[in-house]
Amino acid sequence: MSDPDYVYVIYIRATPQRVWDALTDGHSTANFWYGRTNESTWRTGDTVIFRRPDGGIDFSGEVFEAEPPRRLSHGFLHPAPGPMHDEGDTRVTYDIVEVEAGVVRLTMTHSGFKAGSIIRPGVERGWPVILSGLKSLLETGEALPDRLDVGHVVECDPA
Amino acid sequence: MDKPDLVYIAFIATDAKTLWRLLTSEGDSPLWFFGCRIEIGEAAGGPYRVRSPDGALAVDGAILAIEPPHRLRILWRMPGNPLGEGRQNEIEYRIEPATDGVVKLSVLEFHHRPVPEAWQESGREGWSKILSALKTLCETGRPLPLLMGDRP
Repeated sequence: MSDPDYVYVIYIRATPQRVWDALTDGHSTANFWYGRTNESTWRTGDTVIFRRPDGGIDFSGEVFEAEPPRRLSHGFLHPAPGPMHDEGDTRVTYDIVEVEAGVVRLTMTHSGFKAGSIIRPGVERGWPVILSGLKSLLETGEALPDRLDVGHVVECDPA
Repeated sequence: MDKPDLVYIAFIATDAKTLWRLLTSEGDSPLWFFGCRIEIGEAAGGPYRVRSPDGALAVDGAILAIEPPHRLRILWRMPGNPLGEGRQNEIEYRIEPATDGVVKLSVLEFHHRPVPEAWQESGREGWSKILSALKTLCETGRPLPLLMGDRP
């Protein structure tokens, strides 16, 4: 048994290339991803590292698929010893589709959670903030402010 | 409080009153509801309907609770939709402050019985478009062009 994938879909007025660039540029992610920068060649088989503003590694993983500007998939492992690390690698996949001229559907699928995952609740809180910020950045040139109060996550009945 | 079966969330740089006005405005609704127009009463027990661009009744519902500018709960009946036929679904919009100038908009679905995957898929598509369109409209003042004719 495993916990269900977390899927978030968002429509953005942008080209696929701009969405791809915002997700893979080393500094761009700091604008919408809780200040995280990233380091990677974004070539299949290479490593990606996401760093916190204090320089520590938030998570890292292997680039599993990289087909600019349509599909990107990489591993997501917390390096610090502890229960989140012990849960092992999960996987983040982006599918970028231009649904009409200048409008993109971005589907983010976070998969590979173990049953009773302690990573998944945090992920569920974080993705709407991160991807809302990405959309704001691309459509208005300004990200959302840091330190949003994400509120308590409304618990769902298991499907 | 009862637990929703599905939840969709977006963070929007606006204030609760502006977003509430859009959510409850019959005239502005086509700008964020794939061209559909809502008809909404003023108090609990009043009507809540959604008409598709051709005038067909897509949602024939009622207001269950209305607390401007934070909470709107709707009995959501979809007479013509095979996925929704016979279901007594409830939809709740919640608008909460997230920080200065930013609100958290949640759409909660209550089904009171198991939800087929096709419904979840359809909801993911529909609500994602609606939340994305509301966010673009609030933040840029322009509607997000989206495939028309789709229904939630």
